[in-house]
Amino acid sequence: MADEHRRLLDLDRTIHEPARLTIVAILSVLEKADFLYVLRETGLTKGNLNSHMTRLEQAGYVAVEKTYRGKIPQTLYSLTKTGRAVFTDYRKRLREAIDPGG
Amino acid sequence: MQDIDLGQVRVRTWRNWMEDGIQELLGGAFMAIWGALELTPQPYYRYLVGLGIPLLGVGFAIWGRGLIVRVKERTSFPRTGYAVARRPAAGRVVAALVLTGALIYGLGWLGAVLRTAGWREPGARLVALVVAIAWIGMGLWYSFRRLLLYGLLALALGLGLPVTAISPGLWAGLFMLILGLAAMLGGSLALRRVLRRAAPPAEA
Repeated sequence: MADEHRRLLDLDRTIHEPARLTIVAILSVLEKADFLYVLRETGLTKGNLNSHMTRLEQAGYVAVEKTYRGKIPQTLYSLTKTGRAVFTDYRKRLREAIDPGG
Repeated sequence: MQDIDLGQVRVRTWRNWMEDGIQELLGGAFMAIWGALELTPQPYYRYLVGLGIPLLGVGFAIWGRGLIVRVKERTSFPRTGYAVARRPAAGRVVAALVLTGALIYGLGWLGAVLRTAGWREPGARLVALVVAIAWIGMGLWYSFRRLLLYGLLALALGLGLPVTAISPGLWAGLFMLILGLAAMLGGSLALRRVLRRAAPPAEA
């Protein structure tokens, strides 16, 4: 098997899923964001977003902070160091696989 | 689900961070105070400008971002969702400072060369040009018309200098003051629009 194809097979499956990739891409440019912001930006349903966030949290890619703003509960998300490193690696591998010469 | 374009996701996220105009409102206030200090008459000038501007700059560099986030938390975040842009890496901050220093030094040198060649007040026009390019570039990148307008205003102020009889020192003060007030006005209108458009939501 060609090297570039093997690189594609090595992509991180947790991040590779389109919804989670969007979530991680959004969080990668942010220090932290709340549930509402990510919901609005991704266009996912609340249940869907919640399940993807749980998956990312379990993988150790996203840190979750539950707090209150006044009387309204607020859930803040941020990429962990691991999550950021995995996302950087994912982008690098994908770029190498798609455009090996570039 | 929306289409994924990682580059666009990044641009949109930065755009959201800038959309409410709070940076311009506070940054504009900083520029306007700077300009007003530059225009302060003697004998207070030396003390205020000599001490005030560096203190203002250091204060804004240290606490400016925290202040912006605090104001956003009270105004736009409850409506648009809480999202704090990531701090640039330390290496990038150092590179930006070095680049800014080199730019200031370079402009000073170029201004001196052009003045020797017979140009009238080239330094001021170069500064206006650099500021205008920065605003226009950001306006085009993030698709904000108000940033383009600040850029055009900076360009007009720079081009207008040769036809006026004011001194470069006075011009520098007016330049900062007018641009600062324009940024404050643009930022206020942007914030008003954001607050009117989105009602505060409640998390389920």
